[in-house]
Amino acid sequence: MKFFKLNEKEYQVPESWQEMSLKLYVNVAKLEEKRTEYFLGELYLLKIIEAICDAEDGELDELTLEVVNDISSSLVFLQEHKDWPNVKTLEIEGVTYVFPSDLNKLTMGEYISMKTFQENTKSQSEAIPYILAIILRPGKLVQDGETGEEKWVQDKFTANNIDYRKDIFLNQPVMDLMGPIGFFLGGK
Amino acid sequence: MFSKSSKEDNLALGQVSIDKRWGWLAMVDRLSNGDITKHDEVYQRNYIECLNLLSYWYERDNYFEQQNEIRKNSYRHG
Repeated sequence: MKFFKLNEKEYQVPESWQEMSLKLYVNVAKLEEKRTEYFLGELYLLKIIEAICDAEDGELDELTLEVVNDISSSLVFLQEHKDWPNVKTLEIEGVTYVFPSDLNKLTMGEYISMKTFQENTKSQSEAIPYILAIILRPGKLVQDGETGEEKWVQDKFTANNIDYRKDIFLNQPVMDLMGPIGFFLGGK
Repeated sequence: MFSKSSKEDNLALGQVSIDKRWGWLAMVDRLSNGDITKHDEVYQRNYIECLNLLSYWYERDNYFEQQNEIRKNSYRHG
């Protein structure tokens, strides 16, 4: 992680995908969707730095060219091809969150909820935390009474804690979260 | 200034459609055969199975509609 100060405020710049939270990833992905609106490469770079530092629009306008160049050298990882690991479970604050074992087995309720968020958010990227909050839910390790085989079983889907889970996931490393949801980001 | 609304235009052309905002509700309503007490059961069913069934019904409805059109036209000209 790289650090820099501007107007007495310290900012953090991730230098690898491992250091990138979901929130910062969504910030950058939202910008990427609007890339064609930025005619100047330098302005786009500044906006990327704002996004990756979770700064407000225009908050980093006073950065010197030297600092911008220094930071941009740390952002090379954004261009690297990334293979999201396919994790099955995730432990957050003592709760085990379980990914669905087969996305083809989602219910109509889960599917409609995801599509509704995709339709009602301004961009595909903004829907990512909501999609995760729908498909990644607390679960338990259950033993099959006959075979003795253990498998993770998710709690039944309800719309109750979606916002709560979304907020928790925003602070998690994006590497742990993105693997299983690429399937849903193909279109509205 | 005096142009008709798109809804009126569609009616004039004999095309009627349900507002997009009812899309998912309309699907669930159809799958539950209009029975609100069955909506929760629909939400628990596999989405691929539901979407396949809706696609089949859509094609079947179109097929019957075309058949009816052909029948009506043959009466008119017969």
